[in-house]
Order: sequence, then structure tokens, then C-alpha cells
Amino acid sequence: MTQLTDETLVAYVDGELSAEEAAKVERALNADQRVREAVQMFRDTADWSRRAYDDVLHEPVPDRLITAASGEGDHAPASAPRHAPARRSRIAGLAMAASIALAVGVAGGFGLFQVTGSGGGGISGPLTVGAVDKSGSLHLALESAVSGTLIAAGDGGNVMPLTTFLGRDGRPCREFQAVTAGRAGLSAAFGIACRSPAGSWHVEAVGAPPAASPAGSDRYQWADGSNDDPMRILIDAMSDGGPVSLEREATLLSSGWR
Amino acid sequence: MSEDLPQQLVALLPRLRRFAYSLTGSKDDGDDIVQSACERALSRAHQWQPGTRLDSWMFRIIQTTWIDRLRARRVRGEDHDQDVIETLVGDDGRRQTESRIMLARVRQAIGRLPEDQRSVLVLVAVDGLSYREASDILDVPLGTVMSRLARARRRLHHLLNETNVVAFPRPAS
Repeated sequence: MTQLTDETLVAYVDGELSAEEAAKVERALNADQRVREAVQMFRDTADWSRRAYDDVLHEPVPDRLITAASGEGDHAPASAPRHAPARRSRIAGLAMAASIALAVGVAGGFGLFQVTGSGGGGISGPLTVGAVDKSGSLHLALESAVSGTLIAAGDGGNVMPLTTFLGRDGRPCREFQAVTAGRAGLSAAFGIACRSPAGSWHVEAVGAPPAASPAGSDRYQWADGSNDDPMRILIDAMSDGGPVSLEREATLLSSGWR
Repeated sequence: MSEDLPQQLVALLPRLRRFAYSLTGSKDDGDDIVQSACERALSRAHQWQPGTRLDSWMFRIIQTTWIDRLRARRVRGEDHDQDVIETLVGDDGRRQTESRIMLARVRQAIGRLPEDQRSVLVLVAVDGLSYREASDILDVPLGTVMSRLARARRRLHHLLNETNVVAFPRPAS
């Protein structure tokens, strides 16, 4: 009969035991029904706990918190730094995005090449090339969300980072999809944004999603008629080696993109 | 003061909200605490050493802010969960609704845990921190983290099953 404490079993479930101790628990798991039940119980309660509060991660962060965290609230000390003002000149980035878009010959896929800052808590209107508002959901998603995580925007839309890659100029960049609320309802778009060393994100390219496939075909087709994903072509052109691994992405996210 | 502290704080907000929500059992109370904690953090930004983990420092500030409020107001995290009502109104599919009701019950049960057990549970099981990180944030020995965590999960299991005729279902994988 094995003598394993609850503390040992809970640490086993949480991956906190040494290999030697874990092997001891695994031998007991094979031999003892009560150990199996206890391990299952500790695992289930952890799973339920983890999922119980997850919805808050997918909601827009209230403006008052962004204000407080930015040091712009009434109670903040006078010395608290404010956001760095958005840089004025975006010519270089724009020229690069535009020339790459031309180079890959995208006809109808990319529209809306104009510089704009979006405002408010949501993404506000169609996704456009330009500076990303630091108080919006797009910034939050690009800055802190793991690829594949859906971040809700205040206006009913949402953003999901899809991949992370390093640009040839060293800037971290992310491909993302955005569902934005406009006059005609919700519309989806894909984009690529890169992060300046100062910590602001800039949308470099925007593409429409693949058009609905012709009748009888189960394949999606891009708006320019090709079957090649223009975003993937852009990423290949902008990066040295394409998207990074999720592990590398996790390191970048946790280190504040350094 | 670090130039980019506010920026890093903004990026941490979703995790801070989840942590405070799980401590208080209410999104509104949680957000109030996150707001105070951010203001506290910025007013003593000189105490934070760039290069050290901002999340641990913020969790500690949130934890102490919450304990201060508990002492002052003796509020408990019960009966706060409005999500049950939202669930019943805005359901999209019976299966999903059931799962959301169960998650609301999990939150209620966690709200009924003793404070010291709940803190450890939410740091480790909700946020996924290591035992060492939890022990640093709460300033208790590693062995205490383990024993509180084991008791919290036994108690949670008991609370989830005490009102059920059939056993509380296993979480969907």
C-alpha cells in the first residue's frame, strides 16, 4: 500500500514533481484505484477553475482600466509618463507595404491604403493601413494575445492574431484577422501589423478575406482570382523565414517584445 | 521610473482582470481592484525594478488591495455572479448554456473557499503560475502553497458535488 499525500498528488497533477517522484506516483496510479480517483479529482478541479474565468480574457478591457494603467487617471502622479505621441511620418512603412502589394500583383484583394488612426475601444470602421490606436482592442490583441486567441472589440467586432514573424528590419510583426463593425454590418479582413521599438503597432497591409467559392467548388478563392494566399506571400517577402514557433512567440509576448 | 511601465501594464490588463475577477467573484469588483492596483503601482513605480516580473508584482498589489478591502468591508465573493442571468437570457445552444451555468457554479464555489485557499488556487490553477511564483507572491512557504492547494481542490470538489444528486460532470476536454 502506497502512502501518497494529497500534497504530492496535487503537485503531480500540476507538473511540480521531480521525475523520480512522478514515477512513484505513476506506479501507484496503476496499482491503486483511490490514487486514480484523487488524481482525477485534482485534475478536474484545476480544469474547471482554469476555465471558470476565461471569458474575461476575451472581452474588451474597460476604458477606465486602460486610463488607470496608462497613468492618465486623476489619481496618477503628475510625473507619470503619457503615451508617446504617434509618429507623424509613416511614409517608409507605407511605401514598403504598397510596393510589396504591387509586387505580388494583388488586384482586388487589398484596398483602403490610407493612413488613419482608429479611435475608441473598438476597431472603428474598416481596417486600414496606419497607426494602431493604443487604447483599442487591436493594440491589445497584437500586444498581448497568443495567436489563435479571439479578443472581442467593444463594437461587436473582434480581433485574432494568427501568426507572429520577425521582419527583415528586426521589428516583430503579426498577421491577424479582424471583424469590424461598419455601416453595412460586420465585415472581416486580414492584416499585417509591425511593432516599433517604442511599442506602437502599425498596420502595414490589409487584405480582404477570400471570396466565397464558386458554386460546385469547395475551395476558397482569393479576390484576385488566385489560390495563393496573398498574406502568406507578403509574410514571406517581409520576413526571413516566415512565422516563428508558438514557443518563440510566447517568449516574445512575455518579454514585452524584446 | 521605467519609461514603459504604463505600456506593459496595459498589456497585462486582461490577465490582471481575470485574477481580480477570480479573487472577488465579480467582474465589477474585480475591475475596481485592478484600477486601484494600477494607480498604486504607478504611484510607487520606483519600487518596481525593470527586468523583474511585472506580473508577479501586480498580482501581489492586487492581492493586498483585495485583502485590505475584505478587512474594511467584510465582503464575501458570494451572490455576485450575474453571469447566471446573462446565461439564461443570451443562450446560444443548450449544451453551451449548460456549460456556462456549470462555470458559474464553479465560480460560486470558488467564492465560498476560505480566502487563503482561494488565493493559491487562482494563482496556480487559473493563471497557471508555478508553486514557486505563487509562494513568492503570497509570501508563504512552498509547503504551505501545496497544502492550501490540495485543501482548496478537495473543498471545491465537495462544494460542486454537495447539491448534486448525480456527480458534477467532468470538464469537456
